[in-house]
Amino acid sequence: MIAQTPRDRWRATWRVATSDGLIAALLLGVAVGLATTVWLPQTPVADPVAYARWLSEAQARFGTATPTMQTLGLFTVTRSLGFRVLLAFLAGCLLLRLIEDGDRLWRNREMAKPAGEWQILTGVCLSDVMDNLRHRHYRVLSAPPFLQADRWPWTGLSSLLAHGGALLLLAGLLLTHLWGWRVEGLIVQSGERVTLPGTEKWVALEDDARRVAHSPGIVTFVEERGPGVRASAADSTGHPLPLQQTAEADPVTQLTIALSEDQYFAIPEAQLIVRLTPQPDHTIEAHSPVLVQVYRSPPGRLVTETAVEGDAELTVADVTLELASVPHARLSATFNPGLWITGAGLVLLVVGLLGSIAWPMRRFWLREGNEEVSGTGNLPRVLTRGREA
Amino acid sequence: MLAVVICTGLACGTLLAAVGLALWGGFRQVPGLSHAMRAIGWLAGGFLLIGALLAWQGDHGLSAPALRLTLMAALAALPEIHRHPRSSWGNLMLILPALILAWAGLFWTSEPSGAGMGSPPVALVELAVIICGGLGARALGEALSEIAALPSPPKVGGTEGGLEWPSAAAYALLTLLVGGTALVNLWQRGTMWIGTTGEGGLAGVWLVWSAGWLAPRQPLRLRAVLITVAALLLIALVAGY
Repeated sequence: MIAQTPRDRWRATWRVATSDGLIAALLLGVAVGLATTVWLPQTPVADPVAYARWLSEAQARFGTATPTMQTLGLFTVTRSLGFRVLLAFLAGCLLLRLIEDGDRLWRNREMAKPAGEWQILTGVCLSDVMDNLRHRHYRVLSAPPFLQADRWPWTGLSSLLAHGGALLLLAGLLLTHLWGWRVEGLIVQSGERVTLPGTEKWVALEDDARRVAHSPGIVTFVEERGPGVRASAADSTGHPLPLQQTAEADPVTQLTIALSEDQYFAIPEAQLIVRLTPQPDHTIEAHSPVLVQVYRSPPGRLVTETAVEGDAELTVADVTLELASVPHARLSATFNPGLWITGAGLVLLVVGLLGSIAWPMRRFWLREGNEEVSGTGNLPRVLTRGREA
Repeated sequence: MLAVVICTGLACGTLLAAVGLALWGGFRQVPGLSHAMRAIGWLAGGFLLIGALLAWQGDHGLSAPALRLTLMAALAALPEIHRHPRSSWGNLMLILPALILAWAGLFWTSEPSGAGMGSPPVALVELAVIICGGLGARALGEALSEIAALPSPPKVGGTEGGLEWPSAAAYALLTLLVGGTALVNLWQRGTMWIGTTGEGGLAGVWLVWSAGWLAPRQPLRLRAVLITVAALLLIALVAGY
């Protein structure tokens, strides 16, 4: 039995860590994790409303198994320790492969020692082959009696870019995870400026509800736009009447309401309840019509019903109800410190992968002697055609 | 809709004939069989393309999955210009994905349009996804053909060449799609990942395909199995995209 020296052990570990098999296995592991997230709805974190909706849907779909599945972490796969460990291993492998790529790119500047079994290539003229290879952007190195053809530096460079890009991408994701945050389901009405919870950053919607302004460093995305109103009421003498959205709310003379769903408010002094809802059978947009229904309470009888578009004034008994159009936007705000690193990583990864598809790894050697040409390595089909025939 | 059904039906028939020829060729030497197979492939691909174009142009009664399946089948059925000689089982495996997709398309064509999921593809991205699915179906045929082939000593000349072009093209397009989507998300929403089913599915398929692409050359079938899995997932995803 031959004793393995520490140097051999390190070499073997390096070989395993940089092997194609290991990285393929890690990628498969990540793919299984992602496939699980497609199959099982994942817990939303940034939006309490979305969380409540998700919970009721999950309970309806999985029934009594929901708590068990939750305990097993099946609804938080990408946030689980196992998935993160997998990504950490992937990053480690990529780093080692990047180092190896750099070393290989440097070493491959010069001609390598021919490897593999030599085969006689019939019907091959060496000078024609050399011309053909150079025409196909192969690099041809000569050290008589051998010729080496490969695609240096493009093959090595593509691999370097792909590994470097993937590593940058993971680094960007780590930065995002550590210091980034995201607020979802934020409702902002036009002309309003909202400070994001737990931060000093703000977002504001311009008067026409088309443009969102925000503090520097964050990215906002409008998920949907919808109508909204600023309501006020006055009696026959022009005296403003207090309005209340809930029984516990303090009475106010002006209410600003986003109409993402049905909304109600009361005018207690006039014993009126007003229901506001986006007009059914209309696409919901910033300036879509609003259905206004006014009920007498008690007894809960419908007094009037009308659809309004833009600013409007309604008179019900002695009360004048003024409704000004204040559209709203439902948006998400993201602070991502790893944005540029992730973006650069993505671009490098895509360019590197496309490069490695266009210029796959290929290196072979040719030798002329005894009036015949022989070759070894990853020989192109065009050279071996005669032999296969 | 009748014209679409007729075209897809004719394509199914010609592909079945191709399967029959491939099986016949497996039992006895038939001269000129590969030429007949190629002609049948062109015919079936042509029928499917005409059917898909007719459906796309104005047949709103056709469900979106049927259109996607027919388009994918058309891409999978068209033969290669420079086809490498294969065994009869290899030829059979090459036809099989196109035949199954065409049958599935025919089945969905007869479904009422209300049962159809989504809407017909109009955006460039959707079209790219379907083309990717079609190339994936071709790659599936190649991979199945490799799995079905009897074990043989490693070929001289490595694995690069015409045999793998559908797989390479599908992987390149998939890389562009996944990378492009991630970049757009990053630019618009500040996050690479918004967690939609289509997006997660494409990323998952891309990862499996990458694993197949990187998998060791030996054993040869490991690569083919991984690409088969990735292509099957891709086709299922595209049909319901």
